[in-house]
Amino acid sequence: MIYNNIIIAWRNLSKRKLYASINIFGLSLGISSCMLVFALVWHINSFDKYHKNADNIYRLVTNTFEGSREYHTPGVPAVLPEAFQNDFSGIESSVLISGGHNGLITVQEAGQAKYFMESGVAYTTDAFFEVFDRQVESGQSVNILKKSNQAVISKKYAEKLFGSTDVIGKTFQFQKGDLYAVTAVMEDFPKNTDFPFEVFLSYENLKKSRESGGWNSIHSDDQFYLVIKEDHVKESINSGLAAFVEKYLGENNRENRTHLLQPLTEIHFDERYSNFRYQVSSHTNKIMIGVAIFLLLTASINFINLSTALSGKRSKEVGLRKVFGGNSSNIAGQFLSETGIICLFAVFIAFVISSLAMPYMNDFLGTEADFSIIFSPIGLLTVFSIWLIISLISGAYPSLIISKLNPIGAIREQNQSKQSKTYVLRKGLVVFQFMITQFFIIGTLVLVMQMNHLRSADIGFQKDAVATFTLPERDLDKSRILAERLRNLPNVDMVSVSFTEPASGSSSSTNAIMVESNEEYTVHIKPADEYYLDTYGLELLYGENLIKEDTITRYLATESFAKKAGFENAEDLLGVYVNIGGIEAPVAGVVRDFYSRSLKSEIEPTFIFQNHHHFRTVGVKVSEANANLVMEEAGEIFVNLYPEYPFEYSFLDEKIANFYESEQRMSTLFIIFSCIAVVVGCIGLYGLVSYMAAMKTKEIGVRKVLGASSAQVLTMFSKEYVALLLIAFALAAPLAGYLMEKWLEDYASKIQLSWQFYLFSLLLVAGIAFLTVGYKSIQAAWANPSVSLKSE
Amino acid sequence: MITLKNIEKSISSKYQRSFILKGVDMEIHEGDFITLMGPSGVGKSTLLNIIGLLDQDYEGEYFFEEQAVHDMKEKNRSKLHKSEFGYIFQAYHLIDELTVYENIETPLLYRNTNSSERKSIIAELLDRFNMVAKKDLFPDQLSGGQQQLVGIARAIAGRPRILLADEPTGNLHSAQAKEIMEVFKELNESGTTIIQATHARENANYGNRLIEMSDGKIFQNIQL
Repeated sequence: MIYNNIIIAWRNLSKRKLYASINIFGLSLGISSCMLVFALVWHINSFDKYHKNADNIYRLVTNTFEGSREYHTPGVPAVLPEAFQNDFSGIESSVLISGGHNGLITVQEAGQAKYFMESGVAYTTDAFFEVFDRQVESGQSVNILKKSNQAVISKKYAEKLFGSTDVIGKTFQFQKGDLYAVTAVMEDFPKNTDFPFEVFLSYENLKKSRESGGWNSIHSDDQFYLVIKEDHVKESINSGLAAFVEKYLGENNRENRTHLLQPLTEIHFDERYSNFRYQVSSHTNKIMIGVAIFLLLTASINFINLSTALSGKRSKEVGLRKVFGGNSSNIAGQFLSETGIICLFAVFIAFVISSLAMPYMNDFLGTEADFSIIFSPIGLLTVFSIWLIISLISGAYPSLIISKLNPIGAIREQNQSKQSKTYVLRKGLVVFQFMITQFFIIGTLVLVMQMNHLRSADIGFQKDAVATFTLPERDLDKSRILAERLRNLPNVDMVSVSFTEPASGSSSSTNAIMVESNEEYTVHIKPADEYYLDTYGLELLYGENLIKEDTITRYLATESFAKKAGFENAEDLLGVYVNIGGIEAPVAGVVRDFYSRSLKSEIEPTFIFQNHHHFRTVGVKVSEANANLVMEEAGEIFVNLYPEYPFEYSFLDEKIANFYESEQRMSTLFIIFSCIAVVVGCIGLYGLVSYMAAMKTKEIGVRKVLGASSAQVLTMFSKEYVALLLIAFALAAPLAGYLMEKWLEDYASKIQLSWQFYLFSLLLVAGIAFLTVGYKSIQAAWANPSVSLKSE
Repeated sequence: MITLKNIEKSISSKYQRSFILKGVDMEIHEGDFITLMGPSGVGKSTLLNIIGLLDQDYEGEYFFEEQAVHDMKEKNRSKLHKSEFGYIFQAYHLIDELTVYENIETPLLYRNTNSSERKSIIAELLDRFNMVAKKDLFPDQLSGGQQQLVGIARAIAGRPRILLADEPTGNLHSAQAKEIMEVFKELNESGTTIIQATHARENANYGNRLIEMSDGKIFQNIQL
């Protein structure tokens, strides 16, 4: 019986090759998108879940307030952990990790120094290995980061530094400073951790300098992790935190600082607090899942639509089978096994497509998702359920309707009433599909337009033809020599040494006190030299530029500070004395506003002044034509001065573009997925229109014999679809509009969604639909009635 | 074997009820070869469908060997239908996607006949109708007469006691028609009860009874 069903299924497929292949292909596109997203979402959500304490680890984060605005940092004062452990009981274990240290590692080998630049360096203590699961593979497992000058390195890194993993007792120097002895080798970090450290150094070495800042200094990379197993401990901490802050900060708590326990499981997703690796906003996570479900849904609907349309043609077969003894369940079984088989095909093709596409997607997204998760029990179970559900729905629907037909009627194909009922349902499905397609198109349009908007928005400074690199050492004289030599290069227009470039992910803010009125404002600070404005094309509106000086005697402020401080005319700010970090000086110049942080945030009031203690970035403005060549020459000068360090530079416009990297990736991903959705939708539409044309062949023939023109027949077809399209639009537009408006809320500068925009998306979908439907309808309209009537 | 009492079937439209069958009484004995005759629309096919348990929408009483079919549950009726009746259509109605062999096999599959038995039944039928060489062909590769032979083979594969044929020769030319009727005669002689509906008077000569219908009623019942 089953064999017979398979044979029938196969013959039906090969009889309608076009239908079969578009049907299977459409479904496999949907399933493979789903598989890819599944692997990706699995990867994203697996971050740091492997620790045995995963559900009990918390990070203590810090919130501060200024007015109604809330600022977030994942760091705590370096002095906090000790006080915390004393004041709260019941904490299983805790550890302070000071990450984000990158720098030069020097290994002496046979009298020769070898240099390595490393960014995965953190200072921490033994407790790290209690809190987190990271196996110590050789060496002792206790007292390995207890005393100063101890280091634990990963297996991979041991190979890199020393060429072997038998490295206990070997030494290296960090940042040309302290010498560290390796006490243990630990396993390499897995792909899915937000603690990607190759090298741990004893926190003892950092402790003194870090704690000197006391309770007022917070580094975002000094993060405090705790293992709390019991709920009452957690509660007592939560309720005791306010008193704790009050006890140690007292009157100094001007920013209304509060602390919060953040579960480890949220660290990968909560973009308000950074981590040591990268984050995926929970938005993106949800959008991805939503997109996958939508794609699968539209592909399934498509499949159901086409299958049912085809099964309508088989009522005669069903009638006969019933006459010869088949009962409803036999017939239903036949249809179910048929769709099951077709669906299985699609699943296999989807396996092939997605396993081929996986590496590209990883490359593209910069992720390391593993396709093999699909072959794990949970993955296979998911695929199996997808297969089962689609086969059941698309098979059940025709089997329920057709298997109930009166056999004699079915043989004579007199089942118009039932057919028309399925036709209405099918229309409903088409509306749903149109809706999804429109949803995707609107979403994609918004993304693309917002990206363009961000790219073309005025950022307040010149980003082209400026290369930047990091100063390896904080040696002022050396940096001045470097800048001077660079300036002498032909084709170098300008060189500036500063804290950061105008817009930078790392920013520094502090309080500016108006000396006269004693009013305080939070401002961004950009320590920089006198060439800063010219190098980055910042516009000086009033007053004078900075001068070369070693002590601060003047400030530059931005327009928005003038506004914030209540100067209606920014020029009036000139000469006003301001106290920043205890140094009183007048504002010498007012600079036009520019983005001082990433471009997603708003323009902030900013001060620029000479403070060489913070200088670490060199900006080089070059003649555009041969920028790379010029930078090669710059590299030679750099290597002369800093022979230990590699010369790595990047262009400012690329750096700026990186600010939107995640958006850029997401929009591309969205575009790809909406193309798939549109293609799948078109396939379904085409199938349906072919079916409709076949059903109406006779009607069209009769109408034409009675004198209808081709145009009138075409209208008959289009009317149907225009109505469906409009219904779908009415449903999709508000939903898509609402969600995209929500997404846009993350941006300080954003596009407006006007009615023209919606009209455009409607026309776009209508155009695509017409292209799909048009060919078949025209074919039907032009058909010779004598032929179409004869075939009846 | 079959007794019909006062069978009526009607279609109600908005303002009137029009009868397709009205007050049909009929007795069918085992081994009968009955021919139903009458103009189009007289109710021949409807009567056949009712007899063959394909149409339940009628009034009156239907007894199949003392069992009251009109009171039967769907499940039992379907069982009865499966075991006792075979069908032959004017337009052959073979399943286009199946070969000759598979078409004949279909009713056996629904009767859960085991594989070796199926093979022997089908082989015997193919042999009997001289179709052995054509067993792997599809219906559209056969002539009308051949298709109808396959139709008959399929109808009798499940060894039904009653064979119902609705205009079995309507689409055939006279030589083919004659061949089919000879087959019917043979089947009848070996014990199968046959009821056929036809327009062709000459076909009636193969049977033992001729029932002429008119306006949904039995007009004449002639023993031949």
